[in-house]
Amino acid sequence: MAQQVFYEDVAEGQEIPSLTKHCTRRQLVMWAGASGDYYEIHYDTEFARKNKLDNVVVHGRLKASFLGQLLTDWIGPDGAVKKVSCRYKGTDPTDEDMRIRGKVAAKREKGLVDVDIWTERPDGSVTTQGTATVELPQHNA
Amino acid sequence: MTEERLTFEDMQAYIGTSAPPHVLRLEHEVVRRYVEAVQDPNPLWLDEQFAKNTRYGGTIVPPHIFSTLMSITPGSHESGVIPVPVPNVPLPRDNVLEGEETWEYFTPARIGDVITSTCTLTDVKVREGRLGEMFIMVCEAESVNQRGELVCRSVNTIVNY
Repeated sequence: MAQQVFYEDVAEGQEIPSLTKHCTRRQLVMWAGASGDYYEIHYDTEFARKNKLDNVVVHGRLKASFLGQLLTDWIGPDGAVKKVSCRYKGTDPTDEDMRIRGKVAAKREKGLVDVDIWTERPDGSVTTQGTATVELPQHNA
Repeated sequence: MTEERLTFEDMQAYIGTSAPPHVLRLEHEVVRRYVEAVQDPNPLWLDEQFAKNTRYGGTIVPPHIFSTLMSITPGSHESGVIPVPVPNVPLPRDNVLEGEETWEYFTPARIGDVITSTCTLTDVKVREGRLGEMFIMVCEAESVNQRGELVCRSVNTIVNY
């Protein structure tokens, strides 16, 4: 684990450490089992095509979980996630790198920090866009 | 097409409908499988030794686990293959994509908690998009633990096309 980050250490505009995921169909099946989302567009190519998609797509809520992981990795065990919003702008195929990124949008009072968060494909297109509010510990609290 | 399809006007009648309360037992195995699927090895989720010295005094359940809550609503698959947040509301079209979601977190959830969630259809809109006519269905949910403490509040929209 990285060192605990404190409110005083962060600056608006600062990018937070990114995550890289590489979803295989196997991981989508694991997610389907863990979450109970058995919708076939996530593991059955033919079914996905019948649903106007090119191929199977990564579950939106798996991407939401990656955004959650991005935040909890960054804020450390003494931070807290208060609010997360995201919008699914595009679908993501399997077997390519997905970058999960975030940037400090605003510092508020009482250790609260707003963060812009998103997932992007290798071509840089953003497929999930969101915002979050986290609480960081303060040195002088 | 001669089959009768539900219209926007039909769907208005379902606004305010709540799903039966959904009970989720956050057993160790549920959390372990979840973090394994996400590939999220944070020791705060499962390592008691590590977690006891944090602000939480013990492991907590990753807040993002609540992103799965809609999917694991019992009955959400009864109408077919599509998991829907309010299973007693019919879907006017055949296909579903997730639209937009917000989660707010309050009391942290822990392994062993029993989480009861109530989900209500709060709005239905219709619009033309790249997939043709799309129904935008807005659902709001509240989750409390076995002590009645608010754990999570969420708003999610699904796109039905």
